[in-house]
Amino acid sequence: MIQTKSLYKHYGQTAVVNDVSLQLPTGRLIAFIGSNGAGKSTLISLISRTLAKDEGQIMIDQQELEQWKSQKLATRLSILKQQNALSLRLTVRELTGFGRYPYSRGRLTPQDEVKIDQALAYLNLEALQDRYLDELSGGQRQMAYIAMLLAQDTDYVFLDEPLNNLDMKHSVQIMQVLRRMVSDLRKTVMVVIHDINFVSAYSDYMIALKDGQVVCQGETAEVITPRRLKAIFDLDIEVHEINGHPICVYYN
Amino acid sequence: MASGKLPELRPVRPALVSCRAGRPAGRSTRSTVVDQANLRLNLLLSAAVLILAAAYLLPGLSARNLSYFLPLRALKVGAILLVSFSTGYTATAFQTITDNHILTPGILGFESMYVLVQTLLVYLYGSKVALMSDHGEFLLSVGAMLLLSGLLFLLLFRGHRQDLFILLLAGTIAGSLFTAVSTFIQVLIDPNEYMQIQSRLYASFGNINVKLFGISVLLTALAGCCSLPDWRRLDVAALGPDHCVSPGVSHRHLTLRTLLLTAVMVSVSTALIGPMTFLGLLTVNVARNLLKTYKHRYRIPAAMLLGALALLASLLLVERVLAYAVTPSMLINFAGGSYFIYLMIKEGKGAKKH
Repeated sequence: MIQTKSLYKHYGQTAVVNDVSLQLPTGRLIAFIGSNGAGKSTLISLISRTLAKDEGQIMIDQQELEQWKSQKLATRLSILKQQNALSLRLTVRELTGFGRYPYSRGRLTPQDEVKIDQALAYLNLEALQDRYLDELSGGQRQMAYIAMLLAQDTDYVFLDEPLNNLDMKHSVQIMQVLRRMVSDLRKTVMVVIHDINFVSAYSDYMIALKDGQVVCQGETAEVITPRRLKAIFDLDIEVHEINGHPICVYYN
Repeated sequence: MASGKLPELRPVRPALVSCRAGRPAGRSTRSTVVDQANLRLNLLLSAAVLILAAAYLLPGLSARNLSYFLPLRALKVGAILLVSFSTGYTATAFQTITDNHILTPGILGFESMYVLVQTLLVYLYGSKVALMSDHGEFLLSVGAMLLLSGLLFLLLFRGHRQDLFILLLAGTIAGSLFTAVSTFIQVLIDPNEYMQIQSRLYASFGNINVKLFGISVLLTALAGCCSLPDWRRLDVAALGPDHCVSPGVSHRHLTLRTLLLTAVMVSVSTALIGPMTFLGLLTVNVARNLLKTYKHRYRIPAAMLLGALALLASLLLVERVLAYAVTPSMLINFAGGSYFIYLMIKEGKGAKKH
């Protein structure tokens, strides 16, 4: 289980994460929402040790984050940050293989190869596995990165805006994969998403941030109401139910 | 953009088809094939280095002159191996850490620091510098370079934010400062003493000090051993500071380790031989283009072997063909410099296309 207690992170004078105490449920798809600059990405960066906190406590499985050895933690928790251009020429399979680094430190064993095969098969990437990343479309490349995450096979999986710059088809594919990771593989997937309707359709639990603080959290159906959304986004949002999903309309 | 990359794409295709045909077992063959090819290439390079070394060591030896010529030549070959070892590791690791194909550790100002120390020595002690104890001078040069890098790293790793490019910028500025101070002092000193400096400022295999060779090998081997666990981490670090955290590699930690080891290796080899500006740039990029793999366990040895090859070839050329008209470092810098310009033009074109 992941917990934070009075977590703070400052950039200069402004507190980007301001006194956040959370207890994240396990085995669910958790969406972090909020406006730009609300502190979502910073918060998951702190929890996934890509950024150093200023104050407070982060507990992962009853042990403080600082006390984990990075290599050991990498078998419990993985994170996919937003992509930037890679100057390295790698094939999809080679990239996926990096997910096995915490287990075999670069010497891939037959079991690792099996895990890589499984990850590629799970995402239907087998046909692309020997292609170089720079020959792929943005959506395919994002899938390849998710394959790396999958090969890492951790209980906790963080994704920072995985749908950024993707078309609808790939966005839906990725959300379905994340959904299956929760229901089939019993992982806890934590994701930062901007599109509220993707959150509504796919997530179980929501944590809403505003100005570095948690304004509201709970089951997705409970949070997606006009009143709550107004408090989170300062925007009038209508909620209609279509096919059993609350769909938000915010185009005025 | 695509037209430039297509030829590279072709050879991959047949392998792809065969992988799909022969499922689990055939799957891993592609990477093993690449690994084997890279291993073969490294063995081939080793053989080439051995042949060149023999071609340098053996001709003209007889029972009478053996005891005079052989140790003299062996020392030069030893120094070449040491320099190529240091340069191969440091330049490859440095390029991975900085995610840049045209930077070498030279940018941190080691060479201008070396020039400054040598100039200061001659300025303060005049021609008496020749009388100084070898170890004293060596340790002073190495110590000064380590001190400089220590100060630079302090600058980088103070506080939370890590900014590698601030460090590089600081290194460049420190380098120009040292060059300026050196030039100023060189103007002040006696012309006869200035001649002494000049001979020290060109990398040379002609006047290597035997007494310093032992300690140089020791320090370099020590740093080399410390670097071994980092080779596989560097593979992951090449994903970039953001993506290498998830598999459990701390970019910051690895950067610090690499910079410290680089400081030791570069300082030692510069103090022993002198500045070798373009060797690293040349060997790392040729190795990268030859091997086409992200794995440092193939790329680093290849860069080392290529360095030894280039140095041995230029030494042979200088001593046996050009009759000492130029120095090996001039040849290396000429070849490396031309290659640098070629890289700049190529990268510039690549940037325009994107």
